[in-house]
Amino acid sequence: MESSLLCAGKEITRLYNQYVNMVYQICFLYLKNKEDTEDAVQITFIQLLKQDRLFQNEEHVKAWLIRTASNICKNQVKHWWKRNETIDVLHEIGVEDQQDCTLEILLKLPEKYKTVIYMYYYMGYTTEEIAQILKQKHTTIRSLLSRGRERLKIMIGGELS
Amino acid sequence: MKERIKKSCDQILPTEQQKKKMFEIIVNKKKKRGFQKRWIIGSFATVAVIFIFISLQPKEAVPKFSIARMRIETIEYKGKCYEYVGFHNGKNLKRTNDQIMGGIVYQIKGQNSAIVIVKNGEYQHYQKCRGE
Repeated sequence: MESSLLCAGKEITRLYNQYVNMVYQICFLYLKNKEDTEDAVQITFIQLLKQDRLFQNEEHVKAWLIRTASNICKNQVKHWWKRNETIDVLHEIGVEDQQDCTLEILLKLPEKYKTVIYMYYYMGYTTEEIAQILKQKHTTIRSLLSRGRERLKIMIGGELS
Repeated sequence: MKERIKKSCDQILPTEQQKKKMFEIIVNKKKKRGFQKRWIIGSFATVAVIFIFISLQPKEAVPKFSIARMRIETIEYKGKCYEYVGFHNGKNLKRTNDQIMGGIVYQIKGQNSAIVIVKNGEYQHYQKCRGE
């Protein structure tokens, strides 16, 4: 991708259609409700539109979106009025089958573990790739993943293997 | 674990309607972004109007009223500016035929730079504004 991805309106539409689900999922894991998630997704893509930098390739855009979305969400979560907010998450996303509690537990995890777990298990990135994308040390990512996994296991009651 | 997490995350997806709505907002915000031409024109127009308004203000000295002292601070008498300095004891005054704001103007004997305005039994002492 030689030139800026953002030079054409078509490119923006394509990027939006391609990555909106991913950005939405990341934001929802942090914010746990539709309205805030929609806002965060919008802010992320507006920031992408504002970008003047040249993206080297598709992976670069994807990594930028992941990092930006999680940073935006972290900032939103920091607000004092967000901290004590309790929302019926499953009702929010219209999940009727409440037998599988993995999602609820995943959402209850501390913020720092969520992106790493999502990227490792859902998107299939390796820990090295996650470290590169999130601009953190490889060892940090490995420990976050390991601790997050442990927490998940404890919260689910050891039934995950 | 991988399967369960995947399955869980698959439940978090925006509907087509949501996607459409978000995209419309993003595009609209993009259009409105930045310092638009109309803002530049608007700013210039506002500055111009303010400038015209200031320059068209009457040049005669307008009496300034001090709320703190409940007195008119500056007045104009015979084309010159006088500022309020306080009460006068009423001695050595020479009456003139002039009136300002319903008060009779007195001149202080031996002083050309001051006047006293007598209104409602009060002797208000004014001196020429500094720089006059």
